[in-house]
Amino acid sequence: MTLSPTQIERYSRHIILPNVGGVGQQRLLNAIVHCDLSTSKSATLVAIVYLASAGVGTLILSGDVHHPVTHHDIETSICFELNDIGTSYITALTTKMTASNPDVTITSNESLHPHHRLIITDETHTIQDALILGGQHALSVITSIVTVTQQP
Amino acid sequence: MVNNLIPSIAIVLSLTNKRVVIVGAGGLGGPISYGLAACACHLTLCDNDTVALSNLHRQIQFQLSDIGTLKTTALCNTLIQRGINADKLIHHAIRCTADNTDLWLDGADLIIDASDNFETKFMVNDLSVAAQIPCLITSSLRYCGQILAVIPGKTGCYRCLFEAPPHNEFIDNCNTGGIVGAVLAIVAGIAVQQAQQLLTNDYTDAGTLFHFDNLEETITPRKIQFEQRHDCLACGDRS
Ligand SMILES: [Zn+2]
Repeated sequence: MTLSPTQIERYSRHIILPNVGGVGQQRLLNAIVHCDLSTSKSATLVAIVYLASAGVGTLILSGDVHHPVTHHDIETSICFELNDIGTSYITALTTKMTASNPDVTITSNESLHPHHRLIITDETHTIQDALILGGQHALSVITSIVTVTQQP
Repeated sequence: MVNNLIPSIAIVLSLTNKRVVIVGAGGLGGPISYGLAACACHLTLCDNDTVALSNLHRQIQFQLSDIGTLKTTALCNTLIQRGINADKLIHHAIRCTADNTDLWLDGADLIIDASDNFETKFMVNDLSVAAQIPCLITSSLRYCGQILAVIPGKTGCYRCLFEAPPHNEFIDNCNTGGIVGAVLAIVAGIAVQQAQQLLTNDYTDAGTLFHFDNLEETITPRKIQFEQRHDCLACGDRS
């Protein structure tokens, strides 16, 4: 698989990073990451948004994926809007990411075999704390995907 | 770093009438505005740029249908869709300079530099010192992040530490040096924490440069303390 011109444009600020390049971006697009929403929802949601934006190709969600979005979720994380209230996390996340990055598949199909797992256990109560903790975990997953030694 | 207290009603009330000017509506300005809007601050958002496809890997407030739209307009729309009252938001499609402060600095209790260039960072610092308004200078590149809170008259400033913008040939920004989007989330989160401190007269972290260069340092950023310089061109005795 090669990157399309649209993908090269979309991920250009990744591709020019010395540790990423086209090979690293292809690894991100091929990666399958399991994201557990049963703990630390706000920070996990932050991490999911940054992983999906970075082009991590498949995100398997588990935990409270059918939980309806509430006002509290909007106030404590970054991914939802008022018109998501009442719809399930997985539906709202799929809608958001379809609108911003069609390279990404969000699924609850746990029969897929993930290469990486995102599990955050510390609870956060504010957007700022969710940004820091979710950002750290997303960065950790992205770094480990782009630096694996095998070919994509 | 993670605060386990729910933001108290007292903090939200004390921030309700504060106005924060955010210079830059991109990868840092987006999540910073989410955090401060949730604290009920009034926001002035400034940026003269439009949304491009190459922004979407890190500027999570935008989507494909925003491409070509002014970043300030698209960000305001997203904030309103998140339930923020439009009366709390002012936006200007301008590049902030020292010559057009009448357009963007009005009523500021805090200025946050969330721009991608040194010229603007030094401009925000110098104006902050001259107008005696606290500022936060934020930046990120590749895997690195920096945050500095400046309180004029109480701490050293950005120019005390860095003196002057680097020469053009040494300058990288996200467009030339690259960036991992998740780094911006971390810088933005720390910036919102420090903005809350400044707006409630808590000077714990002011005047200390927070810096991280790798994943481990994001958990405990390096804290670089420095003195106010008497010969600083912005805040020194001879300025
Ligand atoms: Zn100074």
